[in-house]
Amino acid sequence: MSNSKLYKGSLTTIILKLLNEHDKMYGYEITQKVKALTKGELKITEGALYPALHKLEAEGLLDVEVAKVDNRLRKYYKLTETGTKETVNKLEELAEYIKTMQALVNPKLA
Amino acid sequence: MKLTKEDIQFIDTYLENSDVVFADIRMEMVDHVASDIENQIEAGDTRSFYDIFKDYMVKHKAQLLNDNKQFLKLADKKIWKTFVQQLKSPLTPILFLASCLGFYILFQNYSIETFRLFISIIPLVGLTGFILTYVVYQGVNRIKDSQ
Repeated sequence: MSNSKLYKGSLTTIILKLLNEHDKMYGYEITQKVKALTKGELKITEGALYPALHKLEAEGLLDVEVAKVDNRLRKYYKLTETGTKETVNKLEELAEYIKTMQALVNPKLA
Repeated sequence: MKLTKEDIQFIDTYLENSDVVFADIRMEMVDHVASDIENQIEAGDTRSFYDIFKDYMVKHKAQLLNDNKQFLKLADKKIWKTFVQQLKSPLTPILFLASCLGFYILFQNYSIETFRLFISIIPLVGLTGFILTYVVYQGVNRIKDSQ
């Protein structure tokens, strides 16, 4: 993640949220989607994305599927049942965090 | 424009020579690099594949290799976790005791030479199993590639 350390802690939530909205996605697609959604504000680097994806896979939150696309193999990620449940928890956690930060930084808006 | 089989092979060989030895992680990196290069070409970059690739590696090689390092760390962690889980399994002490008993019976009933021969065969059996698995895996991959 190139922009800020503040985004680092939310990387898994971002990945889970994107996969919750799409049936399956591959690594490069995730980086491009995040870039497009944030209008280039957030750029996820390879060095941050893939270790996070592999960790989520090891934890049983993601499942993988390999397909041959354009002369090469492509690894697709999709949410498992546990992953779908965890996405709800993570999003609630993030919303709570934003609310708390809002109360601290800008009490008028909270 | 999509990259050719030769371009993909070039990226794969480059990464392999950069110590990305695990095929699983290399496969994902190859797809990432290739997707980015194709994206640049589609966006209007008129340079050759090699020039775009060289430029990409100058900017991203460190990040890619960090991914490889993290993957290896995660794999080690996974191996240790499985090992500890196996140690905790109730079947482990039973298997251990059964193996000890088996060796004891063997040692009691056969001469030391026969016992040595039996021990020396064990790695060979393991290696044969490994080679067979590898050959079958390569064969399956070749069939998939030709389809």
